[in-house]
Order: sequence, then C-alpha cells, then structure tokens
Amino acid sequence: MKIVPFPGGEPGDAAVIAELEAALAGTDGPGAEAWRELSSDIRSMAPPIDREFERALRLRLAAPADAGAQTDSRRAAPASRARRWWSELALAPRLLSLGGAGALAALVIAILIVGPLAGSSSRSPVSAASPASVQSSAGGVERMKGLTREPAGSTPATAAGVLAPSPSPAPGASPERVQQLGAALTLAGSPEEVQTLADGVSRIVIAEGGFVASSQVQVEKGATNDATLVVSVPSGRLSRTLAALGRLGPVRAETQSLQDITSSYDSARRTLQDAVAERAALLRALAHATTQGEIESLHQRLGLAAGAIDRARSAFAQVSSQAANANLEVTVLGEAHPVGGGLSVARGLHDAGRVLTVALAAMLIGLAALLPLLLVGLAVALTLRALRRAARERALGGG
Amino acid sequence: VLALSAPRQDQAAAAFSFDELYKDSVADVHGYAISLLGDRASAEDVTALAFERLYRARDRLDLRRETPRALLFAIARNAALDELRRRRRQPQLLAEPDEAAGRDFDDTAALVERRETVRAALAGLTLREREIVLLKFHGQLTNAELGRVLAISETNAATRLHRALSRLREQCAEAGREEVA
Repeated sequence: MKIVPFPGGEPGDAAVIAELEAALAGTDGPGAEAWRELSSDIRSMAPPIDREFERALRLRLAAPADAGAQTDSRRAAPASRARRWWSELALAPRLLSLGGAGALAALVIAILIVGPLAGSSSRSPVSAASPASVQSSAGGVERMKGLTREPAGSTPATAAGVLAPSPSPAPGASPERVQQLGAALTLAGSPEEVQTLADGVSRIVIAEGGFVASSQVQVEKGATNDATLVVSVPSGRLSRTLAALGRLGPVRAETQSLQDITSSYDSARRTLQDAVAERAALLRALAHATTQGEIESLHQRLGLAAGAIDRARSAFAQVSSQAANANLEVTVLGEAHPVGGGLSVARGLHDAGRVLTVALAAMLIGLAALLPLLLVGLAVALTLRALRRAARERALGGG
Repeated sequence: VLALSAPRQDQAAAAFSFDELYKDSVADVHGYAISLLGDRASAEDVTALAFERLYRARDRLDLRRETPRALLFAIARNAALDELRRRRRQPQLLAEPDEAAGRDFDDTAALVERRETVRAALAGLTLREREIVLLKFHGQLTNAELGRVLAISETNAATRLHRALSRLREQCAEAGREEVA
C-alpha cells in the first residue's frame, strides 16, 4: 500500500478542522489540495448512482401524485420495501386523523359544557312567561284593589275628595261605575341592580303623586336578590306609572285587576246623605220647638245625628279613597339571567356578550380538559423521539 | 425539470430550487448511503426516501435554521440508521468504481494505491467514526450543518470529526508502516 500524505497538522491539532473547512469551501491554504484529494478519494469509493434509478426517482418526484402508478425499478422491490413506502405515505393521513380526533373531542367537550348553559337560557323565557300568562288569565283577583269613578256628573263632592276617572282603566272598566283598580308588576334585573331598581320605583311613584306603603329589599352577595314594594298611586295615573316602571328594566310579569265597588260607594253616599238630611230636619224641628222637653229631645237626637254623620263620612271617605288610589305591588327580581322585556339593541348586545362569555368559558374548560392530554401526548411523543434517536445511535454503536 | 405542483410553489421556489438541490445532491446522498450501508438496493431506498420526504415537506422548511442540503442529509442519515437497525448487520464497502479510467497510467496506479490505503483505513474505523467522515465528505457539509444533521452542537460535531480524522490518519499511517515492513 501507499503511504498517504495525510493532510493537516499533528494529531490533536484543532487547526486541522479549520483547514478542512477552508479546503472544502474552495479556499486555498495549507493542505487544501491534500484535503481535496482525500475528499475525492472517499467520494470515489462509492459506486456511481444507477442511471435508471436516478431517472425513475426524478420522474416520481416530478409527479408525486402518480408515484404509485409509476413504472420504475422500484416496482420489483421486495415487499418489505413497499411496506416502508406505504408507512411513509400513510403518515400524513394518520396525523390528520389524530388532529381530527382531537378537534372532535374538543367539540364534544364544548357541546357538553355549552349545551346545559344554552338550554337553561333558552328555557328561561318560557318559564318566565308562563306565570305571567297564568296571572293575567286569572285576572289577578288576589292582588291589590283600586277604584275608578263614575262620570263627573254623578260624582258627589264630599269631604273624601274629588275622584278622578282613570284615563286608561283596566280591562272591563266602565265609566259609569265606581271601580277599584290594582296592579302587580315584576321587574327583572341582575342581582346588583335590585337596589337601584327599587330606588327607581320609589322615585317614579312619588313623582306620579303616590307614596310607598311598604318596602322590603333583600340584597345578599352571591345570592338571588329581590325587593318588594307596595305603593299607592292615584288611580288616574296607574297606567302611566306602570309604563314608567316598565322602562326601568325588563318586565317579567304584569297583572291588572278591577273590582266594581259601585254598590258600596252608593251605599256609603246614601248613608251620608241620609245622615246629613236627618240632621237638617232635626235642626228645622228645633227651630220650631216650643217646649223645654221638645228642645232637649231634639238636642239629643241632633247629637246622635252628628255621630251618624261622622261615621257615614268616614265610611264614604274610605270607599272614595279606594276609588281614588290604586294599590300597586312591585317585585324586583335580581337574577343571574334576566329575561323578557322584548328586544332591544342594548339587550341584544348584552345577550351577545353573554353568549361570547359562555363560549369563551367553554373553550377554556375544553382547553383545561385537553391540556393534560396534550401534555401527556407531548411527553409520549418526545419520549418516543428520544428512544428512536437512541435506537438509531445504537445502530452505529455496533461498528 | 422537477415540477413543484403545490399551491405555495412560488414561495418554495423562492426559498430554494428543489430541482437544483436534486441535481447537486442526488449522487452525494446515494454515495453516502451506499458507503454506509454497503448495498445498492438499500442505498436507493434511502436516497428515494430522503428526496421524497424533503419534497413533501418543502413548503414547511424553516430555511433560516437549516440548509436544504443539511436537511436532506439528516433525513438520509435517519433512514440509513433505520435500515441499519433493521438489518443489524455490518455494512460492507462495495467494489471500487472505475473512476480513474482515462487517466495517465502512472497517475492511475498511484491513485489506485492511495485509494486502497484510504479504503482500508476507513474500514478500520468504527461505524460511528466512519459515518461522520462519510457525512463530511459526501455531504460536503460545514461543521454547523454537520451538527444539525447529527443533532449536536457545532463544537461537538467538530470534535467528533477531528477525532474520526485523527483515527483515519492513524489507520493510514498504520497501513503505511505495514507496507514498509
């Protein structure tokens, strides 16, 4: 054998590698020619590539879609070779199916999470509307009573005050009759809005000439809050008051009731008229009395008549008050998902925000559920990669 | 001419020319594979596999980190090592090609002698040493590219290469001493 003038410096000289790099890059320098000769020697040991194989490979790469249909030297390859090719080609679909399964799992998780939430919000209007419709059909007879008045021509001007006719009486109201009006209203809002809504109700009632008879507001953090206000408003302003209250927030339920109290009203009025007439008659009789005994008797009867007038006036005032003022019970419900109230841009935006929030929450939960799986999958993939790499390196270790 | 039929043909073509890479590298990849594996069929398998994998991935290549040639040799190396694992047998160098034909007789005789010495020295290396030498000279890779292919640092690649070349030098010197003796 011939002694090879090995390029580079002494063994262990780090500059050898730099010389080799420069030589392979085409730079002239110490030992460059020798390095290139060594490179040529090593490269020349490999038999040249088969021209037929090279041509077939070029054709296959030029038309990869038809790779399976190509007629080339590989057609006669052993079955093991075909299997390896197939495994390569099947890698992409496998990855696709893996991704698809992951996406499907995320979708199922999202549906499982969003479904109940969406279902509850979609059922709410139905459940909310039902009580309202039931109360309306029942006429709300158990609710507060108010009174409206017959036409002004038949209205007695009494100490109880002037009875104003209702501009928009409840269904069934008759202008010829004295009627008692009542209403109940349920407003919905978020738990944080309960106090604000209750204050709004009070302001509107006072502005309409009414007053708050009783009020109960329950605000508790983390719970469903509510408020109940019993108010009295002039019967003639009931409809306007209800309309104003309806603008405070979504109306979950509204009932109006009417009770005819014409007979009670007429009875009280007649009793009062009778008492007044009796007193007038007694006074006339007193004017014509001549004896002491007659005078004393008339005085006694006048005293009794005065008492009767007071009682009759009080009874009439009570009935008149019923006619003049309508009692209204306002309930404010602070719920997490207020419903009803019709459609509006603000409500639409609110609902859209809720939908997006729920969707985001569902995505976060889905990701939280998938994250451990992804981490496990990643760890497995990294482990398999490391094992494969180690196995490949071991294949070199045998040499 | 190889056709890039993918939708991102222009982008890929702008990044590098697969056709040019094929022309420049197909013989080198085949030479590396056949030198490492020792038989033509396996070398053709590895060569075809490397080019087809790179062809399929050509639109996803991150050419800021790696050169196409280094990627090609990395794929070829993995495929070759998989083949070695599968066979679990030692590769044998094939017969020397008739590359010196047409040269002057004296030069040809000297060349054949020298190459025989290098062949013997190369055969005396471990498979790991031989592999890095083959990668370096068949792949014409820089040390940085060599590090990418071997999944090690550039410094580590240079160290390994230096060690392998030192061993090759020793083997050549040993062969020369035997000849003198």
